[in-house]
Amino acid sequence: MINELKTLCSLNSASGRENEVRDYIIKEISPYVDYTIDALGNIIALKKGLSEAKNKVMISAHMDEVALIVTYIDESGFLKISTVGGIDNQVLSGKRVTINGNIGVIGVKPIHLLKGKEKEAYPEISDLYIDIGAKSKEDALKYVSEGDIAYFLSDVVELGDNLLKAKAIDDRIGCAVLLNLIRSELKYDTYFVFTVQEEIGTRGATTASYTVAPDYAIVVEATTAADILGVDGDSKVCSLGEGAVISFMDRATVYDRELYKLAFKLGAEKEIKLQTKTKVAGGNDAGAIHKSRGGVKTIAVSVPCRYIHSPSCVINKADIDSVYNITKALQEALCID
Amino acid sequence: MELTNLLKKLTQENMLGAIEFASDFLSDFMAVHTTPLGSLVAEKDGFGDKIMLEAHIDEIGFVVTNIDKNGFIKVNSYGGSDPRVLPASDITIYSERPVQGVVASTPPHLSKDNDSKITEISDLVVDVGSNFKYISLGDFATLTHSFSALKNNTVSAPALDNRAGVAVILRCAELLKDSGRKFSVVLSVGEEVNGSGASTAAFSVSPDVAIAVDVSFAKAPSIPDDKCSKLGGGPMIGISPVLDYYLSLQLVETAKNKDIPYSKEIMGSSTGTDADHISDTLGGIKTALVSIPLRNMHTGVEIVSLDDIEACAKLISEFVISGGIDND
Repeated sequence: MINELKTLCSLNSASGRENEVRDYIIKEISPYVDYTIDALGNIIALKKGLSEAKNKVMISAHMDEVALIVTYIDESGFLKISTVGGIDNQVLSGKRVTINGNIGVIGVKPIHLLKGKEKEAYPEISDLYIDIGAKSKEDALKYVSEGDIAYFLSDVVELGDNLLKAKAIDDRIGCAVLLNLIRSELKYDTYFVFTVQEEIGTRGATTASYTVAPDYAIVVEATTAADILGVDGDSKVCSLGEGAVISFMDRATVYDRELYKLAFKLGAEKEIKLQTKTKVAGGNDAGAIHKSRGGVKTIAVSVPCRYIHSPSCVINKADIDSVYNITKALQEALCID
Repeated sequence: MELTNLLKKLTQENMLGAIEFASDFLSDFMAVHTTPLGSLVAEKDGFGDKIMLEAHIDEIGFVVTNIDKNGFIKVNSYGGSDPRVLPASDITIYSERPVQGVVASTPPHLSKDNDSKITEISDLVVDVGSNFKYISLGDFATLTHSFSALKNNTVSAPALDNRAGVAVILRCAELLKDSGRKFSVVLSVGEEVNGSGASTAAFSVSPDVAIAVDVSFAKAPSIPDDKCSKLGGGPMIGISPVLDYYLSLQLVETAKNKDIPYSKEIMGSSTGTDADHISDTLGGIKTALVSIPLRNMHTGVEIVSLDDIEACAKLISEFVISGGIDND
């Protein structure tokens, strides 16, 4: 799964432009499922199990990553940007990006020339620009256009023998887990959905859950971990190496209490490392799914991830198996209730 | 050696690797040695006044000040890295083996109110995973080296300050090696902290004239025109009270005569480069400064134009060959 995760993280798919990841996933799942693509680009797939399920269970992950969009090209050939999804301005300055295969950098005013308040703050996104080395607007237009997406240029790196760093682990890890479940033998028929536009408001999940109308939903995600030096107690939120994260609540969803308890029961039975999130923070596709139609009992299973929504997401490789195993255990349990 | 390749080799090495590369490069045609502080000195005998061509070969970075068994380290600065660009950056620690790390960024839920105050370098945490066991206190680290080709013959990499200057010097050495002139090359350590590598090397070389090559500000958004020069506009010829005014003017004349694009960089006091530390060494050394226009100084995405590097090397070597340094 790690090699596939590395491949998925190297693909570029921002909200609304999920083509690269969608094409990869379709190629991988075609032998195993019947699928459709809806009007927004969601992949909705039905994987047959050994028998029919009593309950309709939907497992989902989102295909889109956070990125930047070129809004304007100035007369000198510099590109102004907006974010697609939530990116903190502190992680943007001085980073490399790619736009249609052209490398650019997010430039900054030299530190030596900063005055007063400029020295004390990270530049605002509205003050940032991408530099591709163009001489003029006309020159820049040979390579890029307004509306193009700029993706983080970030190598996949192993940190020590336990950690992995890459862009877009949110939510290529979810996609990798789903792909492996689809390729495996399942006891019961299950719906797998690869959603679009999660990062700009869980929009793909809204339409996909309307179409599928599941009884239960499992959302597979990455969630923010702040377990770094100097952070203690509940401020860590969750920790790398401590297993799959089962949330009880975040900013978008109050998760079903029975499903939450079921996850921990299954985890204890099957010796799967699990933890919870010790802060109400973040949100994911469950926010849209749980209030779809007449309501859906929903649970989220996440890999703990440091520096999420930056070019350098960091996870502990051991947590990937925990996420896979608990997702599979929940799927089996919920299909037959 | 082809320029892109030369610059790529220089930027992919840390300082010690770059010194080794430069030493191999120069020892083909010059006598090479290292000073007690670690600067590289190469000398070639010949006629005329002795000219010293100098560039600093050290780069900004960090030193490891704390190692935590949970896989984190803390650092202090070597030189003036821009702290605004560090969160979520790739970093390499040069330990018994190179160790890759990531500079942590503060998770948004932990920032108090609308506090977007930058994290000081000494407060930053670096995430290295299980490889912390290879790291020792005092190990040196830099932003992870990379090399990217941008448009119009420009490149982006960390440490172009001052590997671009080193490339100019090595290029000059190539252009001058068959001229018969006496000249020395100095690649100094310590510029980013105190200039000790340049002053001590100048002391031992004892030249008649010195030309220092460094980088300066290239035009970009929010930099006023009077504080920078155009990227691709050629060498920035320094004019400052600590530099020899006559040398500066002669460099300008050479640029005009040889059709080399150039601009003038005017400074009211010292230059902030090794030129300051060379010029008051011994009984004084007449010094000039030539700078390469560079964007995003002291970040991992510095940008230079390869055309400017060629033009700088051409300007300096034409100046030397034409006898511009010889006392009339």
